[in-house]
Amino acid sequence: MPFARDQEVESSGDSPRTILVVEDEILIRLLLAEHLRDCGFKVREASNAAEAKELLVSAGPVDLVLSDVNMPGGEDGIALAHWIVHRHPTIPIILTSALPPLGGTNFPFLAKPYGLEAAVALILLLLRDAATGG
Amino acid sequence: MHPAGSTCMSSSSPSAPSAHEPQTILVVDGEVLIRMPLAEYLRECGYRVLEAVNSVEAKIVLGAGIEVNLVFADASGLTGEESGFALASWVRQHYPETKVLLTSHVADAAGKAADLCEKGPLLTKPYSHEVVLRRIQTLLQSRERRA
Repeated sequence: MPFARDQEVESSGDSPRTILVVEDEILIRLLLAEHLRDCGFKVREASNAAEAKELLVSAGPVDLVLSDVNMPGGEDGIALAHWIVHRHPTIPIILTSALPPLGGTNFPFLAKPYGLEAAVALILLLLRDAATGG
Repeated sequence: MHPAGSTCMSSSSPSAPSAHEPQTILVVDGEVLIRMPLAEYLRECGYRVLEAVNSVEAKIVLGAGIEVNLVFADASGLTGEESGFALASWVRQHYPETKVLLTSHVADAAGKAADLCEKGPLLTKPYSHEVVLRRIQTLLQSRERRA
């Protein structure tokens, strides 16, 4: 699954930024994760909110979380996002779904189906904002 | 368990395909804190690594036409059609060129001894990443020799 390296990532120093992708649809998760790796990010993959929490608690720092809203396992992406905000308030969060969450959301939202370039552009924007305290 | 980001022992990874298209490993394990560090380690060793949570996801990946050189699957816990053993049989039936390496907790492995003879190589948990790497290299080299 080759990807063009058209969106090279500005890394801070020598270490690439780490993105946690939370997505229960394996082919979407795989496609996005591989594209982000091709762009220079370090990517961790979780298939649901519980896995995402395990990684956030035990597997080292994450610079940004991109999470699907609707996932099996009892906890959706919105609940996960609030959990992250409570424990890691500086980590930017992107939510993604085919439909905007009922009642809206205060988190940056990426509507499915989204282009990989659009996902990377939003990630880069939020990482820059976070770095500048925006 | 290795910490996330453990570095590959380059001297022990002679078959890591740096000059050619990287070989693809599909890691199938429902324990994210086992799956992720191993996947990151193998990526550092030069492999393209795909992650699947279970046999269902693994079959979706293979069924999508993504070429996978080796499936490394956990055979602990799940039974029946969802088990790692069933996945190994399915892979060998539908993708005979794809190598399969199973792993299981020691207790489970002892209980499934009969399956082991039929289903092929098994690595007991807990394992070191270096041991996994060597087993993968050996299997992929045997695949290349036969090709």
